[in-house]
Amino acid sequence: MKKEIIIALAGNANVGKSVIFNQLTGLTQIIGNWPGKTVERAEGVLRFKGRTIKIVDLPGIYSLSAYSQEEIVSREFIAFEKPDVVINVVDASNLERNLFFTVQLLELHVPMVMALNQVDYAIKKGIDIDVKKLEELLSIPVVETVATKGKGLQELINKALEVVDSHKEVDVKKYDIKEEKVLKYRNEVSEYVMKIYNILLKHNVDLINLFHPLWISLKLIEDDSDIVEKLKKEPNGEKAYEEIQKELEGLKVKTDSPLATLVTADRYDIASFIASQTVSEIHHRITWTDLIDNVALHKIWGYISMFIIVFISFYGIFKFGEYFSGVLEDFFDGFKPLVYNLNIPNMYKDFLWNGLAEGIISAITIVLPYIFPFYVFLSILENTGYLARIAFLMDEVMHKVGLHGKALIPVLMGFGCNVPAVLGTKILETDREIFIASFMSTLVPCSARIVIILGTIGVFMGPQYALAVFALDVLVVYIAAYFANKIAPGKPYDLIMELPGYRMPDLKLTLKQIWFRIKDFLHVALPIIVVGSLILEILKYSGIFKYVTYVMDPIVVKWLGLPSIVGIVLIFGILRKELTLIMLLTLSGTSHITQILTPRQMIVFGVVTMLYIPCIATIAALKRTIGWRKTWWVVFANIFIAILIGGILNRILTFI
Amino acid sequence: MEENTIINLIELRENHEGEIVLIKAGRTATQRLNEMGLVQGTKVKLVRKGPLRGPVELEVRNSHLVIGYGLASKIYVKSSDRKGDMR
Ligand SMILES: Nc1nc2c(ncn2[C@@H]2O[C@H](COP(=O)(O)OP(=O)(O)OP(=O)(O)O)[C@@H](O)[C@H]2O)c(=O)[nH]1
Ligand SMILES: [Mg+2]
Repeated sequence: MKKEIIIALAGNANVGKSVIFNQLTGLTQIIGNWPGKTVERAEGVLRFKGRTIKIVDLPGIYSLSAYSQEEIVSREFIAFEKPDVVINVVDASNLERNLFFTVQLLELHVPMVMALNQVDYAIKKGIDIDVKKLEELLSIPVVETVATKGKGLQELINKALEVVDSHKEVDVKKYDIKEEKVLKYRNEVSEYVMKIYNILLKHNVDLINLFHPLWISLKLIEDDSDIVEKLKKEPNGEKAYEEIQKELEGLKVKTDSPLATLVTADRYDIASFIASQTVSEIHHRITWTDLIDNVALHKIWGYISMFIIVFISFYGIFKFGEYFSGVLEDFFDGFKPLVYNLNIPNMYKDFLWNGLAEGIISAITIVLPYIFPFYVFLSILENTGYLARIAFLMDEVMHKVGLHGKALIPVLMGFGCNVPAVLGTKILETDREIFIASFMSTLVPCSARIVIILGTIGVFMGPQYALAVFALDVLVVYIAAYFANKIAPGKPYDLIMELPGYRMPDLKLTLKQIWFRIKDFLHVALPIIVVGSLILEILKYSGIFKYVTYVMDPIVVKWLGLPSIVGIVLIFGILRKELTLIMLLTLSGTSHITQILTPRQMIVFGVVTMLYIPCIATIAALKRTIGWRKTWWVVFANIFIAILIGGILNRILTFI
Repeated sequence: MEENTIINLIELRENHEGEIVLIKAGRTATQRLNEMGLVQGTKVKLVRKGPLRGPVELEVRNSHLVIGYGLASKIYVKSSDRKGDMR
């Protein structure tokens, strides 16, 4: 009995793989209701019945062809790392399309179990599935699960372990397609699979030990570029390939469509056959999704409702934040006398209050009250399925900047934090699209920058000004993308996206998600804020500031019209954007921004902070996604845009 | 019986059905559409069209797909709708 086991979660996008992963490992992979969240594989550990199980969450894919990076990642994982068992997670409410992928896993003849997930949702849609029959047809165990509630997961792992323990190696030298029970292709295809298989055997091709011969042969019929390349690298590969090509001529003359299409069509036929035998739609209900989409995707009402949603959330977040920020401020102000009444030298009092306390207090009183409602709103947006609707509504607008609608989803995630936004652009098809979308993401204000704008411009000038700044940002992002598209021209891929049905967000999971984000703020941001504030205090006493401001004043003071110290806080802001505001307040020894900045300066400060540079975490994410060269380009473009727009605003807002 | 004509998906009316006869896109795009379940003979229902050159929403194999305008115009279906009488 093996003790260390690897289980891979594989399946279509948006079926619930990451929810299962999170439930089993206690980790926090991004989950939400749109296809394409997990872009890189993630690993976690589960200890179960004295065994150590490594669980691997793979990106969602619809096929095992080589058309996208995620597909290659997944199939190479299965081939090279040989998971002991693959859990094929499928969406019970959408079985036929999911089975198309299952068929391909069956072709690989890997040990597998099916998690028939979202059965609760399927029942709601009036769909009933005959699990016994499904098991019989597929010849693998099928377990019904409701991942969000943790239902069936125990049994799923039990079944997976049973498969691991009873698994026997298949002899790839003795394969016969006639023995397949459910994988029935049209006669010509089956015939050519065997012909190719025999050629591979004759030439002693090693590839069939890596991937099962049936799958390899089908891939060669499809002329899969990656497999062809692998084959050619083998000692007799070139010869075998030539022979196969010659053989396939015989198949090509029999049909007028490309061979890949034949194979795909056959796979879908198998999938629909299985579905027809197992799925019964008890009643076709008009679903909520249909009703809501009649408005949400409507040619006119769709856009109006989008604006209303944004508007209401904006005011909701602002009002909530403003109120609680005030309450908390009053509460913490009471502590200041305590520190200053201590019997220690004044300099230490400054350190204690400015360096330590003030940083934490500002973070709690200014930042927390806004990010909490904001994260609630973000979670709702992510989990209901509305993000995918925005992709639909904005598809054409995005085409103008060389992207399709789906590119907007990671960019919108940037409102929470730019890091996952940049990493999430990997769902796009080409480097060019990934570059433009990453660039856009960096200009989207993350929660930290939103807080700065709400907490200064919003509170002291009025929410309509904050709204205007955000509107300006939308314009800037769009124009920047327009220019990026000119620099890296090309036609965008057309949108092909599954539209998920609306889901009621699961309360427990959503609260957990919000809590993890806030915890992240407390664990990562707070220490940085404290340490940053301390360093700032030390530097203040060291007298180094005057050199820094000497260099920065021409831009900060002359061009942007801001106080000299803003130059210093902008440098610290590269660590965490919250620092810019918090330090500005500590440095000037006040909690009222109006004592430091005039309204015009406030707007310039807000806009500059919003645009001026990606924080270090985002720069790291950019480097991973688009490489150093383009990352520097993005950084300098941000600096340039911020200085340009800040200066222009400083000049034209003379009436404020 | 009405005579069936061959039109592209953009020409299909909302809430009308058609059967795919041909996809006239590039190799990669065709393969991706195939893999999303759009192969010859598949029945599709056009649920709605986006404004102007916006994408179309299809119901196919009991689930919903969104396809960009450009691609949708390269997918031909057999339908009782006639060319020219859009919506
Ligand atoms: N009702 C219901 N919803 C579920 C269930 N499992 C997952 N979901 C929801 O389905 C959506 C997708 O779940 P994920 O785990 O993010 O899907 P995924 O397969 O990892 O998706 P990608 O990473 O995009 O490939 C989320 O909104 C989940 O809350 C379930 O059993 N029942
Ligand atoms: Mg996932």
